[in-house]
Amino acid sequence: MGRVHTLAFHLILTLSLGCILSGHASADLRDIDAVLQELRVQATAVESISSEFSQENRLSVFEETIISNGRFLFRKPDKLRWEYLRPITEGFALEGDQGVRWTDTTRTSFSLRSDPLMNIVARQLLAWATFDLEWLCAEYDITLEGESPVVLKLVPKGSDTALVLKHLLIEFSLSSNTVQRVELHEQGGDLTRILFKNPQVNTPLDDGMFR
Amino acid sequence: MFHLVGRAYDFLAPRKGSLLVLCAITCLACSFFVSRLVVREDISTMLPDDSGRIASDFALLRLAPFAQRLTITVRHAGANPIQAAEILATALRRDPVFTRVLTGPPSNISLTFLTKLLPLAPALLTRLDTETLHALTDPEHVQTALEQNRRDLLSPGAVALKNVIRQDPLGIRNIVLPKLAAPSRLADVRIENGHFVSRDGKHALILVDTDIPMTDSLGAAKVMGSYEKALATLPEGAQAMLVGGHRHTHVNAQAIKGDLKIILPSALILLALIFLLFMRNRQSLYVFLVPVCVVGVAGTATALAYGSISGIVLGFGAVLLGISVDYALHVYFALQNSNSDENHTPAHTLTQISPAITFGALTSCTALAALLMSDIPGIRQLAVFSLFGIIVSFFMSLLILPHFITTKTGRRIITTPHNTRRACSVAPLITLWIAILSVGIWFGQHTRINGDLREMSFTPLEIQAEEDATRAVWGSMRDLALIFVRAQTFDDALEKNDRVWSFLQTNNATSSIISLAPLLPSMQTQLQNVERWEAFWQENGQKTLALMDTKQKALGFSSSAFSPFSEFISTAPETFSSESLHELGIQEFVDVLAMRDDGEFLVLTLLPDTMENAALLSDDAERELGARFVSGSRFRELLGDAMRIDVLCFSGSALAGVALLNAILFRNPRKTLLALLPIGMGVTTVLAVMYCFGQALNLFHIVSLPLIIGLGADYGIFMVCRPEQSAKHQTARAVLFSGLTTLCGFGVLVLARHPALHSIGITVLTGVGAAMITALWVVPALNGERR
Repeated sequence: MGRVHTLAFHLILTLSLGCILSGHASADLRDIDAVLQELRVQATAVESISSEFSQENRLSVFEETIISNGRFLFRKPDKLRWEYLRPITEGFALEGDQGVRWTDTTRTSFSLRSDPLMNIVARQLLAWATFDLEWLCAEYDITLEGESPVVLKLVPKGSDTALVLKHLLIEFSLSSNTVQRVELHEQGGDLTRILFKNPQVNTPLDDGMFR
Repeated sequence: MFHLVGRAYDFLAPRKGSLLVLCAITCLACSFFVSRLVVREDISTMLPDDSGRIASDFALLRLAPFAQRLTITVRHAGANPIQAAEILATALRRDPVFTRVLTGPPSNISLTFLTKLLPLAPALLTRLDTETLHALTDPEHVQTALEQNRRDLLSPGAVALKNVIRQDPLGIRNIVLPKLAAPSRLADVRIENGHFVSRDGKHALILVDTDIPMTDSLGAAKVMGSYEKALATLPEGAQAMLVGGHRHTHVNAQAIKGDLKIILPSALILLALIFLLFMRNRQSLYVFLVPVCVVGVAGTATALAYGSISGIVLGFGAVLLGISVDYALHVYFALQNSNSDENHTPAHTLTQISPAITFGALTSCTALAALLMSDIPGIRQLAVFSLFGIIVSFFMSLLILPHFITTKTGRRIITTPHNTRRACSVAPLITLWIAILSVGIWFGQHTRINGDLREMSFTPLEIQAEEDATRAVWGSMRDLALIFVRAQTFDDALEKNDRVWSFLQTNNATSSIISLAPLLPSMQTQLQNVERWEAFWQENGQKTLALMDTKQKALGFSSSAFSPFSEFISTAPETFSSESLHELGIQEFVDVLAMRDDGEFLVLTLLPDTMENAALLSDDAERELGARFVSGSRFRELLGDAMRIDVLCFSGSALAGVALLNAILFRNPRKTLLALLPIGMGVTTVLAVMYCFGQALNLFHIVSLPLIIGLGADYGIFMVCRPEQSAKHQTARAVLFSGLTTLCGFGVLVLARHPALHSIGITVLTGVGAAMITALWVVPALNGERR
């Protein structure tokens, strides 16, 4: 169960990492190690992220491709908000040890102290938000798929994760140096594509957004 | 008959040299043998074995999950205790003394955990769960569940959850998940980042295993040394509390060592003072050699009789053999003051004193033989050891020692014949005895008997406080009661365990109970559950699938979205074994509750040690269930009862036997009652002092009582026989000297901090003190002697 949630948050945080990195990536990318090191340094300057997203699910369990829209917020050191606004209303927010989940009809609080699974999530969050390169490299094999635009391919190393997830693709926009596209390719052929719009870095984010 | 002793003296006198050599060789050989003995240090030898109940309860209590384990609680004020705990655990893991160090549950719960959980559902489906299944297939719930599934499949976690949702769209796994919650009731603990953490998050828990038995004092010192070394790695501000049997063993061994540093010099100084005041004679050293030789010979004989000897028996046997010095002292004083000019040759003196010594030895043997009736094997072994000792001492004192004692020359102690006055008649004596017995019985009835082994060990306040604190943080995980079932096969044991669980459910006692039954029922129960599962889906399967088909289309699911679920409920379900639980990563929990013992399978249930649960698991209930309820409180109660019966049996038998022998010796009711006075006063005083100081009688008081009875009998006989012997025999001096040496040797144990040593000290000090005073002053007065 823990790994299920861990994986889920790997994906969320991969997206957040994408946003963080995209704001500061250099256009002159040749060597993956050099790119990652540079991004790690640049990530330390990121205090907050705010971005809209559009998610496209091409899953075998659904008759049709489903498009949903939402937004993602992150603020150092431990605040996170991931929510869908259309066609469903659902999401969660984390602030320190305390968190809240909601749907269009429900809203429930939780504490990381009493919820070990969410606690793992928070730990993962910290690792990603601070761009812990050591941890990142331990979890994924990262390769540079393209330089123009920059595309990173992340292949999970862990056998459990690799059982369901084939790889992640993160594409950066040439014009704005932000993440434009994230794709989750599953082993069975299912695909989830997330397109980010209007990313804003280091803009003030109200505390109320994380409660 | 007693003139044989005199003749034996005359026969052996010319062969003194050979006798000495033979005696020395025997004693040296025995001492060597005893020193090479493998001494057993198992406390179970001091537990009753009558019906096997107490001994087997004790053995079963040792199988409790936390009985052998060390529990370490880590706290780090203002910081995360998990980090400090992990640092300490790492240091402990580096030390080979510790075989296993756990800071959290096994971390092999995999991504496929939920999918592995579902196949267990059919075999775990109880009658109550069927109601849940009905609720899960209710149209309203189906709609809600599918909507939730849709949301989950659109969330970022969909990648991981998709297979679980496809196989179990209605959440049947939620029937199995609560059954996995049982381990969390083992302690008041939650899991944080893979670590055991207290509810308030301020403490982290480390569980440590070691192969070193907790009764091994040297091993315990090693364990504690390694722990102290690991403690040094803790970050500043972090604290750790260790609870475990090894710590008790170590601290007790240290307390005894510390006590001996005070007691031995004190005893030696006092003994030296007595020697300087009363003996001042090189020959008196031979008297001290008698008990030393006796311990070696008695130890050898006991070891040969039993095949091994308990360390506790050897230790307390040496205490009991304080009686053995009596005969040697009596012989010494008698011979020293005999005068050949007055026809009191050593042979004559020995003939004269041998009846008192013989009956003294016989009464001591009777008192000790009464211990053979005890249900406690250690006490029976103690009786055998002491009997051998008394017999050896008797023969050494009468046959060997006299050859090394010479009559005093030039400085004869002039003793005036005892003035006599009218001795009291039988009636006042009987009245006195009735008074003593009444007082003794009253105090005996009102003195508590404590069967708690823990209170017989030394527990410093610091350890007690840490144990209380640990209990406050994690709950009473070390004090749980247990229900054991035992069978030849694992499945038979599980079947019995199912019956126990069902019994507890019927009696509404399952709320805080930890059992394997809900998670791993027997094959028979599993088959019943499977049958129930099949019956349910036969009746509701098509209806549910049709309902789902309609609703999933409306929500945009593909027609094959839940085909794994359809296959799952249509396929014949299977039963499972404990291996399946191992695959789920909860083998630790299974191993805690199921084990092998003596080639049989044991399954245990843990429950709070309350009076209600003890009453529920009555003897009848145990028989009906084929189970055994074991708890610390019931064990202490049983042990206390057994000890009470033991005390009554052996005290009654000993007193009756000693009284009979006195009656045979004196053939005079008055003298018989007089000779018994020291015993009565000694035992009654012990009971009275215990009562007055609010102390409970424990095992160590009980094993010291034979010393009071044995010495009291000797003193009584010697003093009553005194007028019939020559007044020169210095009987009173012998009794006084015997009493004082015993009080100095063993009475100083009252200074000890360790409860066991203190118990012996208080018993000897009060009992022997009272018996000696009675023998020296009360008996002569009532016997019509005037000094």
